[in-house]
Amino acid sequence: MRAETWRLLAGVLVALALVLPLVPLAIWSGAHGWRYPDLLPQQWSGKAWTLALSDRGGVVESLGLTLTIAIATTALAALVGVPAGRALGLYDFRGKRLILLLLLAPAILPGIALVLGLHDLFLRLGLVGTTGGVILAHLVPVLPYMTLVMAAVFAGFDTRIEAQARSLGAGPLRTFATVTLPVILPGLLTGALFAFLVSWSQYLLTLAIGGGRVQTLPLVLYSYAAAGRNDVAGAIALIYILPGLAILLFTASRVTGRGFGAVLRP
Amino acid sequence: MRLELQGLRLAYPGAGLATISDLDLVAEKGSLTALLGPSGSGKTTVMKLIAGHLSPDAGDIRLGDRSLLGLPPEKRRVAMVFQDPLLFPHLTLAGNVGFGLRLRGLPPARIAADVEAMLARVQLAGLGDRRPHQLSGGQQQRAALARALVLRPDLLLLDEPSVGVDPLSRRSPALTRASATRCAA
Repeated sequence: MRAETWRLLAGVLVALALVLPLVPLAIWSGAHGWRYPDLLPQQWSGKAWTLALSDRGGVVESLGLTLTIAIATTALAALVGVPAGRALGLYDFRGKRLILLLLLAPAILPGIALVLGLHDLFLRLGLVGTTGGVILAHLVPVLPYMTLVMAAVFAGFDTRIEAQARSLGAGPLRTFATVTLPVILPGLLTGALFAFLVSWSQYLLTLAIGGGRVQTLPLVLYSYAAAGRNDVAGAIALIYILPGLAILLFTASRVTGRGFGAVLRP
Repeated sequence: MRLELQGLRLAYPGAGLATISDLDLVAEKGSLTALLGPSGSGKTTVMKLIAGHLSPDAGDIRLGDRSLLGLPPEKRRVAMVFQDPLLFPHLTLAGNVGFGLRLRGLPPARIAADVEAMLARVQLAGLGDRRPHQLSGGQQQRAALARALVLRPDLLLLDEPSVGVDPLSRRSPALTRASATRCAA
C-alpha cells in the first residue's frame, strides 16, 4: 500500500474514533424511548431538542454562563500566564524548578483533594456560590496550561526584536502590541484553546465552588442524565461539543495560516 | 550632533571585571566613527549603552547639548541596527521599513513615499510586499539598515553591519552612500 493510502486510512480511523462516540448521543437526542435489544429506536421525536432549546430546559441560559466563565477564565489566565511564561521561558532564577513543579501540582494532585482544599478557602472568602468564585477556581487547573505553553513560546523568543522596536521609537506598550503580541500569537492561541477547553469541561470544581447555584452546561447535562432523560442529555451533549469544536477549527486555521475550510480538508 | 561619552563604566552582575571601564569618546557631528576590538571586548555593549538598552553604572552619554541618561530608547532619537537583521516576521518588507514612521503618526501617503525611496536606495525596490523569510540574508540586512535610515535619526549605530551582506553588496556604492550620509547626522 502506498504512503498516501496509509495516511488516508489513519485519517479515517482517527475521524471514526472521534465521531463514533457521538453517534449514540445523536440517536438518543432524536429517540422517543430506546430499549434493549432494539438496534435503533422504534419511534423518533423532536421533544428532547425542543426542551433543550427552550427557556424551560435551562440549557440556553447555562450555555451562556458556561461561555462567560470559560472566556473570563481564559482571559485571566492569559493576563497572568503571559508574563509568568515570559519569566519562566526567558530567565534563570533561584526557585525556577520549584515553581515549575508547583505549576504541575494541579495536574498531579487528585481532583477531589484539590476541590476540598479550595472549597474550604473559598467558603472563608465568601466566594462559594458565585460566578466569580467559579472563575477563580477554574484558574487553578487552567493557569498551568497557559503558563507552561507560554514558557515554551518565550524560550524561543528573541528579546532583541523588542529592543529593535524600542530603538525605532516604540514605547513598551506599543512594542508589546505591535511586535511581541503578533510574534507570540500562535502560541498564545494554543494556550488559550487549552485554557478554554479545560474551563469548559470542568464539572467537579464548578459543582463544589458553585454550590449548585452556578449551573454550567456539564452540571445541567449530568442532572438530566441522572434523571434518566437520556434523550435531553444526548441533545445537550451535542450542543456542549459545538463551541469547543468551533474554537479548535478557528485556532487550527490561525496557527496553520490556512483558511477555515482548508483545515477541514484532508 | 556631537556624541560624547564621559567616564562610562559598566560591570555585568556576577562578572569580576568591569565590561566597560572609564570609557571616554568623542564623535563629532557628521563624522563616521568605528569601534574596533576583539570579540567580547564590549563594542556591542557600548552601543547598547548609547541606544539605551543598558544603563551605565557611572559616567554620562551626551548627544548634542543633552544627556541621554534616564531617557528610554524610544526617546533618544538614536537608531541601532543589530548584528542580526531582526526584521519583524509578521510584517512585509515595506511594513518593516515604515514601522518607525507609522509610530510618528505620519500620513500613509508620506510613509509610502519615504519607504519606496529608501528601498530604492538600498537596492530593494519592488520587494516591498515580501515577507522577511522571502528575502536573502543580505537583503534582510539591507532592509534592517533601511528601517533605521528612513527615520533620519540623530545618531545611527551599526553593529557589524556587513555581517550577512554578500561581498558585492558590501562594496555597493549605493549602500555605502546610504549609510554614510545618515551616519553623518
